[in-house]
Amino acid sequence: MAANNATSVEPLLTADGTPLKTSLQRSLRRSKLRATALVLPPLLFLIGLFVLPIGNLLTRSTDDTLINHQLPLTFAMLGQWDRQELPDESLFEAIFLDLTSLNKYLIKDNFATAVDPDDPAWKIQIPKKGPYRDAMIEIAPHWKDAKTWLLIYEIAITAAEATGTEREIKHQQKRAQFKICSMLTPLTNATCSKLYKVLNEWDGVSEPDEALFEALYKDLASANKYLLGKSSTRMNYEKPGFKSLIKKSGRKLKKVNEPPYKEAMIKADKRWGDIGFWHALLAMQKPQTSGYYLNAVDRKWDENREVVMQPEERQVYVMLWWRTFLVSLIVTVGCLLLAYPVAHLLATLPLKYSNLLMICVLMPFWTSLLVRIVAWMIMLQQEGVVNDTLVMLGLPDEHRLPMMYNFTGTIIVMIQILLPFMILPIYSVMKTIPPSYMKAAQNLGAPPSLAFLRVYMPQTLPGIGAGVILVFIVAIGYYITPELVGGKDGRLIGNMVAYHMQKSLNWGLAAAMGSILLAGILILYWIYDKIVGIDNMKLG
Amino acid sequence: MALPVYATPAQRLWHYIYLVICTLVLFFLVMPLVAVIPISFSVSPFLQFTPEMLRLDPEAFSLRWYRIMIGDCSDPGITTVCSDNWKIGAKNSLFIGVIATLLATTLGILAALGLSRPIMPFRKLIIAIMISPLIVPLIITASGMFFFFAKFNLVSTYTGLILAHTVLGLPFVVITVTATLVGFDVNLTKAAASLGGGPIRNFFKVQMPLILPGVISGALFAFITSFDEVVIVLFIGGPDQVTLPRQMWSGIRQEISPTILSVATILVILSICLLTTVELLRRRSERLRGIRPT
Repeated sequence: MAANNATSVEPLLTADGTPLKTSLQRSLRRSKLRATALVLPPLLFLIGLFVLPIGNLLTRSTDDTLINHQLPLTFAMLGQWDRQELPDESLFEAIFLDLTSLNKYLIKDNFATAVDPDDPAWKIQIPKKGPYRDAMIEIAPHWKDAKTWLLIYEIAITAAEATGTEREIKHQQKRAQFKICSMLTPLTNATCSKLYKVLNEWDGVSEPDEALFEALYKDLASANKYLLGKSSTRMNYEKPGFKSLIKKSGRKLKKVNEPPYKEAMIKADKRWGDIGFWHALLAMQKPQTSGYYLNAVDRKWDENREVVMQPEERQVYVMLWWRTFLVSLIVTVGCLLLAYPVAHLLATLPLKYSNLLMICVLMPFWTSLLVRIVAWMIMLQQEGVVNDTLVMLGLPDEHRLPMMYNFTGTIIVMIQILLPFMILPIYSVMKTIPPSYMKAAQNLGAPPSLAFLRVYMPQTLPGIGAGVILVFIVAIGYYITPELVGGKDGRLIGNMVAYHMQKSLNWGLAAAMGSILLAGILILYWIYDKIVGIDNMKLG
Repeated sequence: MALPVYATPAQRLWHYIYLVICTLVLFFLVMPLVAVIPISFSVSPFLQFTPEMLRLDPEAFSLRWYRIMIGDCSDPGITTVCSDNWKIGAKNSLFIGVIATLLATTLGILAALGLSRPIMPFRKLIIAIMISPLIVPLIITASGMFFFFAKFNLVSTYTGLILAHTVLGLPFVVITVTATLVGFDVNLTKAAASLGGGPIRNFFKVQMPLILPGVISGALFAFITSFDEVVIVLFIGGPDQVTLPRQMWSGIRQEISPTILSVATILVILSICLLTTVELLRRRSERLRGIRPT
C-alpha cells in the first residue's frame, strides 16, 4: 500500500495533476468503502437474524405491558392506596371493571399507562346480550363514525380480494383476522374472525349498524378472555394462587351488577380480602418489571418494595446457578488436567506419529454430539460396557455403579465432549516452544520438575488461558448433554431456560435467566479477547 | 520424544507414567465411539456386548438394524419402531445443510475478504459480531430466534431453519477463510489487476483458487454444524422438519434402539471422512502458501 508515503510535501502531484495528498485520501476512502461494501451483506444478515432476535429476547425479560393492558384502571388507582389495610371500595370497583368489562379496548387512547380513572365511560356496562351499539357508542363516540371502521375495513377487504391457491387465500384471511385484532387490542395472536366476516358484508360508507357492533363486541370479548388467561398466569408468578382466584371470581362476578363491589368480591372469593394479593399487584404496576430477574435468583418484592428471598419451597434457581458454575468449573479443571499431558505429547512427538494421534483428538470433535452421547449411554448405563468390564474384573454384580442420569454422568460426558477444545489451544502454544529451553534450564542445574514449573509451564499459560475460557464458556451454556444424561440432579441452567421456554411457557423468566447467562458469557468473551484476541481464533 | 540415555530411574518411571496417562486420555476420547460400531452389528436388541459377540460367533452379528434404518421392515423378529423417518430425516438434514452451507460460505467469504483488507473501520467490533454465534449458547440463540421468527412466520418452515443454520455456520467460514487470507500475497491481485482483469474475474481466477482450501474446510465446518444441530430444530422446526439429529433426539428420549447405533456408526464414518478431507486441505493450503509444516 502506498499509503505509507502520506507524509509528502505539498507540491507533489500525481500523473493526472491532482495533489498527491488528495489522491491518496481518495484512494483511501475508496478502499474503505470497498471493504465496507464487502462486509456489509454478511454483517446485516447477522444483525437481522442473530443480534436482533437476541436483543428482542432480552427485552422480554423486563416486559410487563401485558398485565397493564388487562388492569389499566386498577393500576391507575393503585397509587392512591396506603398499602397498610385492605383497599377501599374505589379500588375494588376498578379491578371489578377491569376484570369484567371491555371498556378499555373501546376507549382507545386509554391503553395501559395513560388512563384517566375519572372518565365516566369506565362505568358504562355493555349489556351482555345486546343491543351493543348504543352502549358502545356512549363509551367511545368515535365508533359511531364510519371513518373509524375504515381502517379495519381495508384490512378485511384486501384479504378477501387476495388471489392465489386455496391455501394461500386461507392464509391471507387468517393473517387479516390477526391483523384486525392487533389493531384493536394489545394482542397480536388473537383472531377477530367475526369482525372479518361482517366487515366483508359491509359497504364501507353507510352508518355502522348493530351487526358490526355485535361482531366488535364478541371479538373483543374473546380477545379479552384470552388476555385475562395470560395475565392471570402472569399474576400467578407474583403470587401463587392468583390464577385460580381470577378464574373462580370470573365465574361468580358475572352475576354482580351493582356496587358495593368490595363486599361482592370478597363474598365471591375470600382471597380478595387477603392483603397479600393486593401487595402482589404493586409489583406489576409498571410496564417494566425487574420481577423476572429477581425470580431468576430466588428473590421477590415484598409489600414494602424491598427485595426478599422467596419462600423456602420455591427456591431453586440459586442452587441451579451454583450447580451450573460448579459443573463448568469441574469440567474445565478436568479438561485441563487431561489435556495438558496429551497436548505436550502431541507437540513433542515427531510429526508422523503426532498426526495419527491428532486424529484421535479431532475425531470426537467432528462427530455428531448426539452420537457421542449415545455412545456414552452405551458405555455408562447399568448394563453398559464399563460396568460389564468392572463386573468381569471382580466387582460384585449387585454393586454396579450408577454412572448415568446423574451428576457424575454429566461430568464424564461433558469432559469428553469438551476435551478437544482444551487440547487444541494448548497444543498450538506448546508447538511454538523450542525444546532447547528445557534443556538449557536443566543444563543450568535445574531439576526437571523445577525446569518445568519455572521455564516450560509459564510459556504455555496463554494456551491454558484460551482453553480454560473456551471450555468454560461452552460448558456454562450446555443444554443437550445434561438434558439427555443428567437425570434429575444433573440439570443445569440451560435446561431451566428450555423448560420455561417450552413447558411452563414462563417466557419472561426464561428471558431473564438467558440474559444473566449471556451477560456472564460476554464478560468471559471479553476476557478471552484480551488474552488471545478473537481474531486469532483457529479451528482444527 | 525419546528419553535421553542419561535419564535417572525416577525420570524413566515418570516418563512411563506420563505415556500411560496420555494413552488413557486418548483412549477415553475415542473408545466410546469405537464401542458403538460392533454393537450396531449385533443381533440382539440389547445395547451391550453379548457373550456370543465376544466369542466372535458369526451368528451374533447381523445387518438387521441397518435394514430397519433404511426403512426395510421385512425382518420378522423386529419389535422396535420401524419407519421411513430415518430416511426422511437424512434427506431433510442434507437439504437444509447444503443450502445453509452455500449461503454461509458465500456470506462468509465476503466478510473475510472485507475484514482482511488493510483498512477496515470497526474491524474488531465486526469480528466480534461475526464470531458471536459460536459463543452465545445455542439455547439462548434458539429462544431468541423462536420469538423473532414467529413474527415473520418463519417458525416451522424450511426457510427459517436454513437461515438459522446459516447464522451458525457463518463464523466457521469467516474464521477459516480469514486464516487463509493471512498468508495471501496481495501483490498477486495487484499483478492481475495491472494485467487488465476486472475485480470479479481476478477474484475467481487468482484469489479463489488460492484460498479454496480455507473455503472448503470452512464450508465443511458449516455443513457439519448444520447437519449436527438439534437445539434450533427443536425450537423452531415444525413436524415437517424432521432432521436426522431430531430423529436421534426423540429416539434417545424414548428408548435407545440399536437402530440409533447404526445411524451413529454411519455418522462416525462420515465424520472420519470429513476430518481427513479437512486435514488434507489444511496441509495442501500450507504447502501452497509456502508455510513449512512445523
